[in-house]
Amino acid sequence: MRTFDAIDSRLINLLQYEFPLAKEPFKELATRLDTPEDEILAKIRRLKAEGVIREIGPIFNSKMIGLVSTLVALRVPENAVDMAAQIINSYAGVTHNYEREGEYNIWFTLAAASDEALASTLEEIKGKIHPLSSLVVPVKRILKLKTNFKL
Amino acid sequence: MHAKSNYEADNRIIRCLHRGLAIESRPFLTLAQELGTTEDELLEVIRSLIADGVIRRYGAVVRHDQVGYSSNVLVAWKIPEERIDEFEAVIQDLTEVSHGYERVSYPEWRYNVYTMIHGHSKDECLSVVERISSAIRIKEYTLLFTKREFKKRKLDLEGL
Repeated sequence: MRTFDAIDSRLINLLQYEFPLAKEPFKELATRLDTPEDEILAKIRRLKAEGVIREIGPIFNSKMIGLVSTLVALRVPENAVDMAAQIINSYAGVTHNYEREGEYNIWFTLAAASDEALASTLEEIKGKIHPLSSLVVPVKRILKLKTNFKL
Repeated sequence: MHAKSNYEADNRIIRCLHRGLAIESRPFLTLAQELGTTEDELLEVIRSLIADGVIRRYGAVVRHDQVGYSSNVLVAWKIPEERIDEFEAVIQDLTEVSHGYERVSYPEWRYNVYTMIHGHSKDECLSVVERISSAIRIKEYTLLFTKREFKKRKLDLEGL
């Protein structure tokens, strides 16, 4: 596992949970970390290039921006997993797609702009893959949503 | 710009913000200019979107496997309907649990609650599962460990 120096660690935490909504957000972070802004910008660019930080931006409540989504599980023969994964990956509404242990071996999330679009995309995917069986398990209630990747 | 109007109609703002922030001194300026507004106004819109729960959080999205949380497990639980509130309370204070959902279940798949658990090792994840299981006194769960990640990215709004 990679390690981070003290400034990097604090920077990553601040960027995640205390990002300043200000005209010059990185200058504010620079002040808090007692480090020049140029250096802070360079550090963040490096962390992005290294893949530690995917992005800085808003995490939307998908429902509140008019989207519907669901988790889907498929049971697919071992030798068809790769092809199924490729087909699923090709859809814009798919954000997560995993091979998992257990009787249902492919799990993915699918979002769409309407219930109808979600249902038809799902039918299309299933029509291409022909899974042995499938489960559509949309959320009934959020019990917790709180990432905590503090360093 | 109307900070509290119909958000589905504010598609342009949503799409613009969704693209993320450039790593430069005045990152909101670029976005504001594109939207034909000022930085101050745009920041005000973002604040009200947060206040209204449209934006859950504004900040960096990290790859958790890169910051030490190398292990994770999705756990599906069979929790009786009337005990879901109790389950909810149990997971609230466990920082290792990032997501908890009640989801639709079926006769052939009675698991109705899902938790995503992150840890620095597989053992750490398993001990959290054990802690939840004993706290709620329910042993009916299944561990859906990841074998391969095929895709993990933010939603492609333009492609929908």
